[in-house]
Amino acid sequence: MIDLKKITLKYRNGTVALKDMNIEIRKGELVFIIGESGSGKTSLLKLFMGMVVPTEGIVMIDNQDINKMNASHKREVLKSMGPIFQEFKLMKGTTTIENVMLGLRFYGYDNNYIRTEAINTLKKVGLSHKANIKIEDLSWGENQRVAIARAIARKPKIIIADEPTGNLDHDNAVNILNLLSSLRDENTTVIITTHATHLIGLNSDVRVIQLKDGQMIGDEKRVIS
Amino acid sequence: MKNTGYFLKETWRIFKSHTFTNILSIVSIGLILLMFSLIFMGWQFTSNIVEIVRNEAEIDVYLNNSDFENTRDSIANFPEVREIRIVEKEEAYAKMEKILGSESKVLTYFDENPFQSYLEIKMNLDEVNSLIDNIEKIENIDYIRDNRDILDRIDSISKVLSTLNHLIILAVGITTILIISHMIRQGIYQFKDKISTLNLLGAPPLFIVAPFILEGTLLTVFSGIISALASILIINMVFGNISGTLPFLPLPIKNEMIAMTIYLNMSISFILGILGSIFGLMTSKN
Ligand SMILES: Nc1ncnc2c1ncn2[C@@H]1O[C@H](COP(=O)(O)OP(=O)(O)O)[C@@H](O)[C@H]1O
Ligand SMILES: [Mg+2]
Repeated sequence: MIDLKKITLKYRNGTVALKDMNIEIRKGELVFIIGESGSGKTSLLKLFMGMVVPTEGIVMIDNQDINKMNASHKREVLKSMGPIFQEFKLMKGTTTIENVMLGLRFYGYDNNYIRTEAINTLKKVGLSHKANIKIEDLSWGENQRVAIARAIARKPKIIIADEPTGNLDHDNAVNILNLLSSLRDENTTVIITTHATHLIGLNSDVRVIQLKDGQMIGDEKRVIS
Repeated sequence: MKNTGYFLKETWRIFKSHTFTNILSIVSIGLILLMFSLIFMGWQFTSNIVEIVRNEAEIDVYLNNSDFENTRDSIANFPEVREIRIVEKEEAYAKMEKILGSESKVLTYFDENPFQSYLEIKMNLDEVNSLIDNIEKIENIDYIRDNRDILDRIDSISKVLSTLNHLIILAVGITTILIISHMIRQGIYQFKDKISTLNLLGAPPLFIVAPFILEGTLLTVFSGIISALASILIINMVFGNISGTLPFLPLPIKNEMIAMTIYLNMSISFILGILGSIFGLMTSKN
């Protein structure tokens, strides 16, 4: 599904964020990417979405180099993803439900379906009572859950979640992680970065990739029963 | 269009992000369009007059004797003449009475009919000169009255207005497109984070730009409505004044003119709005 081959990513200011990295992620896997702040987790996710271009190596999505696709092919790939950005990237001035609906607007669904899906997803993240509140009037934790709802409502093939529990209290964090890992039941690939390593143990059959200074220092399958 | 509601909301949001400058540009584009409208109407008025008078060009020939029938017959032989007839002095009197309208009382101060009989000749304006040359050769001609001077003057005014009209169209077009494209660039800059997020979510370009094009088009269409309303007001005033003071001036049909103005303002503002928005999109970096 995702295949990184010999990736090196060097930013324009000279920072080497990732070094000589090979990762293959298969369909339906639940992958946690852990590592200290600055270790390269966000950069790795950006590669998956073609937001940054590697200095060396290639990023294959479904056996195609994402950086060589034409614009409309790349759009289709992006439409099959549910990104949850570390800084949320929600639309200020619009309400919770409008944000979730926006992620669904260009699939050709009709408005009623989009609204129903958005409401159902907001229920799952525990925010249906804030559907008509503007984004800027929500707490950070609530913003984070709106971002998560926008991603899951799209029923994506891949969830790409950058520290999705970073602003949540323990109960909410557990809730969200359970929600995200349950998506595997529909054969969704779920990729989550986090430094809340103590929560990973709650999930069964996970893969944990550990980064340090832009290099992979661990890649293990954990089967917890 | 499943997303019409969303697009309209977005358009409103873009508008509100620069309410004041947006209203200013609606007003200024409205004034620009009004200027164009006025020139266009002036051109319509004069070319209408020219058209009517050109086909109805008329010279009046006065004789120094009363040999009207023979002179008429010899003039009628000239190929330029479309129509010739004798206007008796009684008819000349009646004509003037009609032209003067309520002022015709002055005619009653004359004891006798002060008008002379004459020959009225109709022809095409372009043939007036050669015909007059020919008629002047006939002996018993006293005096030829023609309205070439006036016709020439109206004709050249109409030509100037026509040229002006084209120049103004060009100026209106360029100015409007520049103003609108600037507004669009401003909006895009304001919403650049939003646009990049939509790109990351895989939104198609048309979905992303639709609200901006809608915004630019609505701005100019509002200007067009303002200009059309003002033009209608002015048409009503002008028609009221002219038909009161110059009752014999041939006017275009008022309702036709109003319809034409509305059509012109709406279509030009619509087209310029779309062009301006597209130009704005093309010239912004995103
Ligand atoms: N746009 C950028 N330009 C330059 N350096 C960057 C940029 N983004 C991230 N970095 C650097 O790359 C390294 C990895 O960052 P990041 O991928 O955000 O790590 P993490 O998500 O694990 O905190 C850090 O040293 C960071 O400062
Ligand atoms: Mg990060």
